[in-house]
Amino acid sequence: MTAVEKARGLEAEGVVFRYEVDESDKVLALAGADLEISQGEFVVVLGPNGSGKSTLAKHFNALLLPDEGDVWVFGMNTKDPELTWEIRRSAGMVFQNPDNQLVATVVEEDVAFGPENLGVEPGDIRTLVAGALKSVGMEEFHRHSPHHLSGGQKQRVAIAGILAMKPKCIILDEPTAMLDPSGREEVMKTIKRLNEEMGITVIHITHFMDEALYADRVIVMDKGEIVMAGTPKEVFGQWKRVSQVGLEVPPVGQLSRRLWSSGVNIDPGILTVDELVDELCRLKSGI
Amino acid sequence: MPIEVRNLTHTYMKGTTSEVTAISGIDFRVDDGEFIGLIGATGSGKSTLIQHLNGLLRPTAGNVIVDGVDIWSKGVSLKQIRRKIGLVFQYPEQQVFEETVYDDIAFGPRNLGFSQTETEERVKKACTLVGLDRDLLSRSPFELSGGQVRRVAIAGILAIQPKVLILDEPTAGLDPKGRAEILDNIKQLHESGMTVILVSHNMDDVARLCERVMVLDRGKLVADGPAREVFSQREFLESMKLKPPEVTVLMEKLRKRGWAVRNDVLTVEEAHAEIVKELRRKGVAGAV
Repeated sequence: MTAVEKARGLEAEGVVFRYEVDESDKVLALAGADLEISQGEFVVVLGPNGSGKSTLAKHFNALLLPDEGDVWVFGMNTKDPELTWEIRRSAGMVFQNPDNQLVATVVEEDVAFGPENLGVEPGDIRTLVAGALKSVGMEEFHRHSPHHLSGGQKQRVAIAGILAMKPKCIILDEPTAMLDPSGREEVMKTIKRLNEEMGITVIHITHFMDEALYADRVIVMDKGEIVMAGTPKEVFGQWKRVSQVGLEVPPVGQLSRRLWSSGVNIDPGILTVDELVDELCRLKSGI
Repeated sequence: MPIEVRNLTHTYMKGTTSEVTAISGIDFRVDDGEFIGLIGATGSGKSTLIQHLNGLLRPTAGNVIVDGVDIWSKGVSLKQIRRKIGLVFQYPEQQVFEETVYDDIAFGPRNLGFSQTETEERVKKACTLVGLDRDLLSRSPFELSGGQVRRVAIAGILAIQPKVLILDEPTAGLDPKGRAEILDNIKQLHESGMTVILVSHNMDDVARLCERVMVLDRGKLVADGPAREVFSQREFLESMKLKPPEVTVLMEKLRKRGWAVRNDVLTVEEAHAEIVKELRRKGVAGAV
């Protein structure tokens, strides 16, 4: 591997993908998607239902292969069948419904499932599982049954199951859709910490606009294409475009923009409560 | 058609070692035309409670009284109760099963023995109420988008023409556009006179739509009052793993920093008005 290849993250190059409805009917899900994600980046993918978010995510895990174009995961082309398992180990996926992902009757057995499948030595598995559960703050629950955990806790166990395989990237497909507000926050804070402290690349798909604020970069998809990309401020700053694709600016962002349009001298791109409070106080005290 | 709930308690698997009391000692009354938001963390008993309101669950203790009659007293037809009180479950599209959208929506009225003509009228009316294009009626529900299937499921309940509509997380998993459309339909149903009970984790939606908010915590009804009063108690809500809408939190933080603004603001519009008013009062330049 050359030095250049080592630095490669996840890349989609002109990816076209069609779902087969029946023999004569195919639906275009990805219409030539181009995307480069650097190692260690936290990317949030937004877009209406049917825009191709999940389809693209599944390409980064080699669950789907492009009809046209190429997908590279840390320099590995997903079309090479010999690399499939290494790709899935290095870019693990977490799905929407935690109940469909947890298979064992005890939390630690569930987390051990991945490394066991990879043929890791039992002694090492123990260390991996303990470490993974600690990373998601679930070490106390290692002997519990997954079925008695809250939704947020179940998703953290599912994330630990991926972590136990020492991935470089975690892809999360609407992991918070079925959770209550505190469960959502638990999961978001957990993945943010994994990204910051362990340098794990995160691709997070969601319908909750406020979750985009955790991202380094927000990607917006529509009709199988990437139509917007940038920091949360850059993306939500284009509020007209955002609403055209059927998304919305988070409430505090709407408020900042409205205040600004009524002549209040603040940054219209502010998206968080604390930032807006500070800005308004600064304005009021005339500093 | 008021609903009264008196000292309602429900214990699952009573008498076994896995006995769990999901709700206990709950009292409230729902009057005609109200729009109530029911909030609470996962496991607080929301789903158990609403399943009592149309007789899907039988109370372990206490009463559910509809129109002055205890629905579990002798001679009361639960089928009649379920005609008046429609319940839309979470992820209702999982219960869509007929070959066409029409058949799916017609399932309820047919089951109640309505004629073909009457059924057809009810299906069409229900479609209008949820903004579902009639061209879709001959399609398979499985060809529709997530938001559309959700509307088919709601239309199926509306075709029964209930007086009270209870919805359990009707927007879960939908994109912002789908969510806004469904909420808009619900708002219109309420405006046309229907009593609505909305179970939701989305505090912004509840704050914007509901006049009254009930809060469940570990099976107890711990708050029941106007949305403004309930959402202005941030610490109380946070103790139950709930959160007021972001704009409400913002106003509270401004008050702590010396701003003379209301703390019971619920929407972006209200917050905007309050902030501009205060800036003007202080004569801050630029605040028109």
